Amino acid sequence: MSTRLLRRRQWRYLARTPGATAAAVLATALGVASVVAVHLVSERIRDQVTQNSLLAGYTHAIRGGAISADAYFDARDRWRRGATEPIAAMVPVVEGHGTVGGAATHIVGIDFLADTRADAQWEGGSERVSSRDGEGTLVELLRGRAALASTGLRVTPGEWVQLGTTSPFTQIEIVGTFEARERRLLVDIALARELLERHTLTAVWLRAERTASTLDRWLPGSAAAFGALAAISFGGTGNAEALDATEPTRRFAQALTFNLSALGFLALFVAAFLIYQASYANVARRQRDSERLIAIGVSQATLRRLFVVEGAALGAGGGVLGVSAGWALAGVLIDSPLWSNEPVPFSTIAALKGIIGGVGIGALGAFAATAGKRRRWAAPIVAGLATLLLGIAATANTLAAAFAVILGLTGLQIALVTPAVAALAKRWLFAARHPTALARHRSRQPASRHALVRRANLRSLALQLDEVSVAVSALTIAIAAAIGVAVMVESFRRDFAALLEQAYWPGVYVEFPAPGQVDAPALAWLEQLPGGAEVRRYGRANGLVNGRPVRLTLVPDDAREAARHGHAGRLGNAVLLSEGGARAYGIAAGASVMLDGGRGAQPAVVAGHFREYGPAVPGMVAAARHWAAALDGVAFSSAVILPDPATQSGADWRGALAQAIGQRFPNASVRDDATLKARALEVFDRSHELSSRLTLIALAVAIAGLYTALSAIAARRRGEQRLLHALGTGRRRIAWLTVCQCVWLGITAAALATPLGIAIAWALCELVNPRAFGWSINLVLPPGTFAEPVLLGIAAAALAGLAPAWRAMGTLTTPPDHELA
Amino acid sequence: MLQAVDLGVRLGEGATRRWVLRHVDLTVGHRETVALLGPSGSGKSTLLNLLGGLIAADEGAIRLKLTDADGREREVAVHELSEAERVAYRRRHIGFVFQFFNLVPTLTVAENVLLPLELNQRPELAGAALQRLDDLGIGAVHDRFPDQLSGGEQQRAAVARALAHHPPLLLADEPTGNLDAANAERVVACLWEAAQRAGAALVLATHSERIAQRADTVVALR
Repeated sequence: MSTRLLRRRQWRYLARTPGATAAAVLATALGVASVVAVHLVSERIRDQVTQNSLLAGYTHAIRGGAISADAYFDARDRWRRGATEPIAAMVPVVEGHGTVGGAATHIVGIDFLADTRADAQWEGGSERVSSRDGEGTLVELLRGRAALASTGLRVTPGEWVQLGTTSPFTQIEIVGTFEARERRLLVDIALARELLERHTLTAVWLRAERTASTLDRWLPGSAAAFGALAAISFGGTGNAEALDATEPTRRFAQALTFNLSALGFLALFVAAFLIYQASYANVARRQRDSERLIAIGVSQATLRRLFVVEGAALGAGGGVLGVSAGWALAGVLIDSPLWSNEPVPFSTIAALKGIIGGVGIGALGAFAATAGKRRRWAAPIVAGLATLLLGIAATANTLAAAFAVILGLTGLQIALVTPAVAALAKRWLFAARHPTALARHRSRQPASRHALVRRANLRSLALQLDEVSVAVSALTIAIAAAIGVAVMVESFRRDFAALLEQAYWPGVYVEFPAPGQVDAPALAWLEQLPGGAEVRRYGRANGLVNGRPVRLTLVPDDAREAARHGHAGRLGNAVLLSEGGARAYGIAAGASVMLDGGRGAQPAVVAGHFREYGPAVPGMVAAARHWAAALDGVAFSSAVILPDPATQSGADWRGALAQAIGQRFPNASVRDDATLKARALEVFDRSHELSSRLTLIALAVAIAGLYTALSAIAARRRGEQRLLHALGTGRRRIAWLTVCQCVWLGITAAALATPLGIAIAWALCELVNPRAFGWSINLVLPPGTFAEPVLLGIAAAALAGLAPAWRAMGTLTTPPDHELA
Repeated sequence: MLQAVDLGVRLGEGATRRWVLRHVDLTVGHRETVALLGPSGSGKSTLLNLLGGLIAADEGAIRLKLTDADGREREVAVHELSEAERVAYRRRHIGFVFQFFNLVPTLTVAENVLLPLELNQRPELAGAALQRLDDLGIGAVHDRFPDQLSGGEQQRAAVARALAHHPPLLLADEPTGNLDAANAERVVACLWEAAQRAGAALVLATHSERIAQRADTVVALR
């Protein structure tokens, strides 16, 4: 059967209802835009964090601090005999810390001959490695005493650097540089062995042929959610652990990108709801038309197919718009100090994802809408699935399970709570129907001119709740997500601010850029400055705890210093490990560990854990008196001058101090604790802007859907509105009633969203953050935090009702016929 | 009481805009019943909408003479009223009965009847308005919603609602067009009786000559 005329009728209908058509396309576009933008931002974060990582391209590593030649060759033999799973490359590594130009520097020696892809990996064209000659493979470049230097070392190709702390120094020629903030030298393994005086391997890096990259390319961060690659067993030699699980920077980046993706999908999820809502309203509006067509012989299946094609077309339009908007949006979202703000490159995967997503939700929404009346069993099925999801999530400890908890709670809200509240509201609003109603009316003194009109308005809304329930659910989810994120961020901010208060001494901080040091003369000079009671000096070094990297902070050994990290009493020989490190490495308080700072591993007891937010590599605090000698390349690069409470220690004193230090040490950075705290909080706030923007997008999507739903019910109320107008209710009042309906929907959604939002905040604080980043957050519920998302949701709902209200005013002027409908 | 002189109105948009009524004169006396008789499309409903201030005339004048509570007479020039003033005019002085969609579907019968009183802030008329439900034989269904009533019951409730605030002019647009003969007869009888009892003038649009014969005056529209 030819459907040419049917199709023409369908496109004409879309053209005649431009508002509803545009809202459907816009809702899809916003949902797709958020997914595309998040994908592009995630790719940027992943590229920046992982590709600049030394381990870029490698999937597993055998670590242990000291791997004998026998162990290496045994592992290699197993690989070559096919006794392990397929491996593309196995690279022996010698690494450690040395002093370059007076500052601690990470020296990494790799056997480039062992990995045929190493050149491609490191050179990456000309972007990441720039060499003096501009040509030549790494194997050719890194001959003799030659090294690639990270940009963090601030040297240029052709320069020579000095290695060592005392004369005679070893001279190394820098033949090229690569992007990395850390101070790092990349050399041939033979040179590293000589420079670090190590005769065993420190690690073996592997590139497994089986990678999670396909899934991760489509869903950035998915490795963080669903667990990392499995370890590769080498029998007696031990296991090569997956870097996704152990390498802190990579774990951090994946968790961050997964969290962002989850927020991006929230908007798509809301958009899917709304497409369904729009399609449902669309089908309902054209029901009479459809019945006429069925009466003249058009089959139900043909009509459904036409609706699905229409939904897919609208979805495709929204998808294309969304991809473009998402690309532009990514540029805005990337504008952060946390990552580079270079132009966002086009991504085919992101574009395909957006268009497939748009077409998919458009077609599915239309299919679901034409599948007949909403089944009674739909809610129990959703509730059952949500409960099942919660049950499964309770038994798993992954990031995906944490998000499954949020999804489960949301499902229960949609399937159980929202319908129950709607039923209660309906019952309450129609409660006037009891036998004593007439008696009550007889004695009633109407309190307000429009009390009955308002009641009729509310009842009308309650009667149509079924039709707008999807839009209300979508708005509920969007507001709940906004509340959840706002509460989590506020809780996090309070913990962070408390941590800053605890961690910073009230004084003036002096930071010397490498290779500057707070050496004995500098310390003596700082101590004689007027108004200062005490100068405390801090050192930094890198090390390995049980073979895994940590950033060491060396502190004065006294109880006050330990108290800053939440520990009672002096540290002595013991160390403190960050909460994230404790979770990632499975090290409990009181555990004995091996701490390797480049001069041989030494036993240490972890006295406790301290809170630390931000750095990917876990932190460790140790007393300088006990540990400085055991670590390689310690840089005492910072100090704090504590004021003498008996003398002037206000802003004037701080200013004078800064001026004096600036004259004596022009390169030193001098800032007081208040400035440092303010800057830290500023960075914190900017880093969370992205989450807030994404929740706003979800809210915008919800509003577009609400507009569609409201337009549909407003069209159905036209007869009633004309009657009220005929009875003497003004046009503005009728428009206001329409807006009031929207405000009530907004209030209902906000009321439903608040408990769900708190539950989401709890899941984010107690499950997502510990699993993603290793830190926990104390949940606080300040009422002010709810106010913004709630008011925004209600205001946005009112905004969605403005157009239907305007239209309602316009249609009242249309001359009524016999029937006011 | 009501005088319409040389009324004319155009409906439609752009090229389709045309005169629906032109050069129409109508006079309705105090307590008079007037039937507007004519086929579909003759402009009966449009004339009622003009008299009720639902639409504005493009030409001509409509004047309604009213007697205030203190016995003083005054005149309302409906054709000169603004949109907001026409809303107030309808609310205070007009009672409407339509063919369909007469009652607010989300209010009970009693609430529908009380609605004009609330809009006019006349709570003192509530007792009489609800008593009229008993008089019209629908007192027992006062707490039901419109969709739970028969067509005849709905129209009788509409009559009670139209007279609740004691309007001087009742406008009925094909009030029996949707009813069977028995119910139509009953509703018409109720309408006439209630209008007479309330002392209101009645202008009724119909295409039924039988119903029109009951009126004091019949105006034929072509």
